[in-house]
Amino acid sequence: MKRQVQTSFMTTNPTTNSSLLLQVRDLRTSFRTAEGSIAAVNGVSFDVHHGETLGLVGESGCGKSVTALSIMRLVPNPPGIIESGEVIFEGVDLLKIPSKEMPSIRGAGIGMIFQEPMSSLNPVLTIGRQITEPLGVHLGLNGTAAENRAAELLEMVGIADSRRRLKDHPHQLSGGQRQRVMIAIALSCEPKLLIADEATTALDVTIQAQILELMKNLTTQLGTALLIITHNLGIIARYADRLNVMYAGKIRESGTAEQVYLRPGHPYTVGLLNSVPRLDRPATERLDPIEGEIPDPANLPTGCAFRPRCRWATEQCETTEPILQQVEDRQMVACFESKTVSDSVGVAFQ
Amino acid sequence: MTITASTEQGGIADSGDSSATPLLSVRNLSVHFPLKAGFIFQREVARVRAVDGISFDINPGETLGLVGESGSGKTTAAKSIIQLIKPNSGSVKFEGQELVGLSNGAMRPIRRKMGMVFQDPYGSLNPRMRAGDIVGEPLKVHGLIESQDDYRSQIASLLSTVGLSPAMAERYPNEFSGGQRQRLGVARAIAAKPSFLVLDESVSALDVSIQAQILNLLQDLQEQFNLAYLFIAHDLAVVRHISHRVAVMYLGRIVETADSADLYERPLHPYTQALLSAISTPNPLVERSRERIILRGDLPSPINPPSGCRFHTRCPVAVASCAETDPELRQLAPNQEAACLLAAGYASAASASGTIS
Repeated sequence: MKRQVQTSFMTTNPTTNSSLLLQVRDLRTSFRTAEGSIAAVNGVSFDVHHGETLGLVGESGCGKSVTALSIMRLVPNPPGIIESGEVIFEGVDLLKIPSKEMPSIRGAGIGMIFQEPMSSLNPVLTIGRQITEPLGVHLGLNGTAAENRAAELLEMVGIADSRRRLKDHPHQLSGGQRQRVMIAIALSCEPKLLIADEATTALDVTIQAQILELMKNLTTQLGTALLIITHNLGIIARYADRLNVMYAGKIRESGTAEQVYLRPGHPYTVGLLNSVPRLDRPATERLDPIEGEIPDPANLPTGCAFRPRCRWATEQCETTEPILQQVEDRQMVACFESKTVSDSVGVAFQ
Repeated sequence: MTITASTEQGGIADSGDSSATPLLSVRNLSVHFPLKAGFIFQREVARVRAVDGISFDINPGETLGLVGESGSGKTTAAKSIIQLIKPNSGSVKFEGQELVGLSNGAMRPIRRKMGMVFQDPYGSLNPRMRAGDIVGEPLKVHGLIESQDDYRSQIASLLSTVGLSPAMAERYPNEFSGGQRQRLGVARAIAAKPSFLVLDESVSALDVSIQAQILNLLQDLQEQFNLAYLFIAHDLAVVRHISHRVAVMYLGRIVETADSADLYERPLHPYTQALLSAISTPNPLVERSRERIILRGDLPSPINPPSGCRFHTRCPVAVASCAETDPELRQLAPNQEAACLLAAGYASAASASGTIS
């Protein structure tokens, strides 16, 4: 495991340290259940640079949301516990500071948007109250100044008639508008990093497009780094500079969007790309899905966790767990057969 | 295959050989829900026009994809077709028989030929029933069992048809994964040998790798049993993959209908174009160079739909007359109809900018 940390440190950090905003190192978060301890995040390391957009993709249960919650130290405890690792945000390890200092990081340093805007907003408080609250806490803005700033923020996220809207309650807004309010709150204190955890998954496609464009434009304007967590490969392809593909608690492949989509090196990435019907290709008769199902996290296969579903698996995969290794400048794959995999499918994806 | 062969009723699908007669024919179907006010004397103050005059045909063995955003009336349309909701007006002919106005008793034998698979594989299976009994329930309801042995063997054959092990019949739903539960839902839907299935967002909640497995299963079953599908979904890439024809709904109306290939190559209605442009495809080169049509605002309320064309409030190309004239579906190309005043003149520009491929 030590080796994995070192390699990823060297390769995902080609630029100078000054552009580094967040370093996640060997993060392990587990949940205590009746069947014992389950490692939801099992040694995840990645970097986020200032102003970049990073994608984190994977299917349900792969640990992508728990990774985000661990960064924010919002993992519910019990049953969850951050076992080990480092989350270094602007030089400070967030896992080592006292928990009473975390609120000043959340909001002012790292903003977060969740999937369900209705349950993220307080139903009994006005929109205005919910936007002005962080302004008071983090920026010391109160009274009229806070209200003016809140109205500005609502306008920034494209809500018309913002003065009047400040007096509305969440139920008076549509799903898309609620998510706009969430973005306004998340960006209100101009955080350095915005984490969007399936932020548009529950929305209709046309609204999804509105919100994604808005999020991307605002973060570009403000120079905010964006961590997009989603299962939707298309969203990442459009918005992210780099991405990490997660499976069963670990990053299995990382690289630039071009590398991972056009020349994937991990069989799981290939399987994901083959599973989705695509509008950029002629309609096909049949899809080529990944066989089988996601393994039980309490009872992971030996060796590579993807082995039972993998068409390239060898004996080695059963006994030894592959670690992330560099296959190209900026691209890393945790697979013994990555060369064979990308050679055999690479052309088809371009 | 054993299923069709085992009874005479399995031959329904075969009887629909004349492709000229559609299996299902929907004409001007409307479902309005009254909104009532008042405490004792409830009076109707408004109507939700959930489905407002839709028409389409589905041929035996064919898939019609029904796409639209939440609130567009897709699910209500499907439920009113199988008479789970009584439509206010219009006609639904299934195998030539009019369903609107039939009593529940008269509907029962017809329901045998119509199955439904729901979105939520967790909520749609009774947690206290064994998988075998869940799958076998339609057989009991419609009296399709000769003996207990016959019941068991039919269940075993159904389970293996959908890719589950017959031994799983003894398990409860909580012992199955999401994908397996959806397979159970499919097995239940095809148990009584229907000729028509409503698939209401049946793959939307599944992870992509599992979604692909279920899509393949549905295609296999269609081929095997000549099933017709009404495939409701909001994911246009999935709809293109499985559908022969596609109908696009907006606020209770069908705004465009076409053969699947034509619709995706040459969408004529501005709403279809916006929907298509909102879909991202997993290819960064395509995605980053592609211009998106971003619609303004949200879906208007179906209680008080906009005047004229219902889409004009969000339409990027609307002109003044769109607020006055309610456009009818017009045939603009072979097998392609769109309800847009501007669609004909718009068609050429659209193919240049609106689509992906």
